[in-house]
Amino acid sequence: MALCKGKTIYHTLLGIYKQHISTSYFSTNKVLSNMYKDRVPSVQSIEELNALCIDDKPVEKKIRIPAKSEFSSAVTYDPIVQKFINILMRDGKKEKTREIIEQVLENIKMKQIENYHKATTDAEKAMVVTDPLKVFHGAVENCKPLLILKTIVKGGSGYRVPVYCHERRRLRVGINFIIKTCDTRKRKVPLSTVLATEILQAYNNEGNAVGKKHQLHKECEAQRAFAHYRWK
Amino acid sequence: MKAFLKRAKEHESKINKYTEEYELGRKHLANMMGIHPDEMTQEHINEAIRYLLPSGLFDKGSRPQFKHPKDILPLNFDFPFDKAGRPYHYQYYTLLPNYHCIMSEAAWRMECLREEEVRIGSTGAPPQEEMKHLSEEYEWMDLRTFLNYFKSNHSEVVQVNEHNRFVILMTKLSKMRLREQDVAFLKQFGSPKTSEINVMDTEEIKKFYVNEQGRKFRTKNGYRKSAIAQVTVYAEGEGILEINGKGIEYFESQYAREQVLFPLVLTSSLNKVDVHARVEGGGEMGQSGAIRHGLSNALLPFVSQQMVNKLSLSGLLDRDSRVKERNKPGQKKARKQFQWYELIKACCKFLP
Repeated sequence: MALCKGKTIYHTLLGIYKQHISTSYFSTNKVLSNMYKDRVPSVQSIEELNALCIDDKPVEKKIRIPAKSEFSSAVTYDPIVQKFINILMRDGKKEKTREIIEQVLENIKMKQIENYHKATTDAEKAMVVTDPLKVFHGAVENCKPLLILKTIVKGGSGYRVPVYCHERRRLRVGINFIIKTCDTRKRKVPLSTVLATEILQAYNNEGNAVGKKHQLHKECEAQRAFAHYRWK
Repeated sequence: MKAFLKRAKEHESKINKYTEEYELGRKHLANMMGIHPDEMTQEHINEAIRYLLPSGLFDKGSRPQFKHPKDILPLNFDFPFDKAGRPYHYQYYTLLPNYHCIMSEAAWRMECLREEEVRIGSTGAPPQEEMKHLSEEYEWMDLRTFLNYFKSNHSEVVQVNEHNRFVILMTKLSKMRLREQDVAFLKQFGSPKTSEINVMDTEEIKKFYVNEQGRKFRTKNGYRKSAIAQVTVYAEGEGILEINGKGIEYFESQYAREQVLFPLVLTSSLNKVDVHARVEGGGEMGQSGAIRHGLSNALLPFVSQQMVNKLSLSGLLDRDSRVKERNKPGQKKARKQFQWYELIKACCKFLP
């Protein structure tokens, strides 16, 4: 039995075990290969499709990545809501999370209708937004941070360095802030009501989810001196 | 030097042994077939072996073959150095002499061209030879042709990184002003890009059959995970939808119903077409995905070209090849691994 390097006992035992089994089972290139590596990306929004397909000219023949199963031309389809559902889901139970979020959007609309009827003047009534999807988009936008702290190891110790990041990462961090503020509270009330209040507050730049974003920005300012560690 | 001589001798003895066996076998085969051994060609041998030893393997290299050992064994050993041990090729000590010969020649040509440009720019003198830019973009050799080019001619094994560097160098060269000798050098490795675009076959798309009652229809299969669907679309209809004898109530969830109706809504042909489908296997969402795949392929001849472009660009015509990952030995599930104290038990089997 050959000795092998490892960080913990678990890794050494894994390495010893894997020596005696044929490597084809554990070769990462075969197991974790991206099967859509050679395919061309496809268009996933209907507005772009209508803009691209005006003529009768035939399109190039290429093998494309197939469309998702949630993609549809219904009025209720929104890609950001689908992302929220995937992040909130646990153990692969998608029907349950879909019901939760339908309730959330319904609750938002009911509350905004109350506010609409409470407002007296016409100017105030015009300010109230009743479309739940717009409220949802606005809340997620207000929770997205601009910078993120990333640990970089230099000279044996790890420093937290403020760093830019792209849209996908910011979206995910913003959605995580909203979800984690709702999970930590001890609640005897269903998740949908708690989420609805959080989203409404975030739309108005109040609440705990937006407070987490402000806290992150303050920590980034404090670690400003290490910003040059990003480039070696 | 000595190791090289040893290998050459072993190679020769191998070839002699195999040629004797080859000749013997050839005579026996000729006897069986009833032909004179001098008149037997390689085609006769191939036919005979396909008859005597049939195989259903996909890989043609692993089927039984009967060839002269020169065709099968690697190239014969020509001594690339003289008696004293000095090599002939000036790049023998890089283990890929012919590859680096090509790359250094291209780099040398680039430097010559640069000097010419500098000389033209500083003095106002005309160029010594005619120099022109290339009129078209050139496409360079594929990975496969590149590897075969070196393996078959010079028995050298080239890697993927070296192919990338080759492509980068050649594109750099092709963007400068070139002489005729440079163009001839570049044409060995590339050809101008054809402006032809692979367009979808209109004949295959527009095919349909006609019913006994005179109605046009088309059937296509759709696949998703482990579900198989057979979808037939009838033209000039009212909007009937039938799935395994029932309507759209066959699916209970809203998302499965939306998935089935999506290609019809995109092409705005809800009330113009009849659909009959038969589905087996899989779960709820898998079955609806299979019907969507078959529907979009069967709709094509009854719809304008603009809608065909929409269906192809959005990715509805391609099969979703994602399947559940298999379980592996040494792990609990596809990715989940054992706890460390369970590994000790498993390792005890391999201890002496």
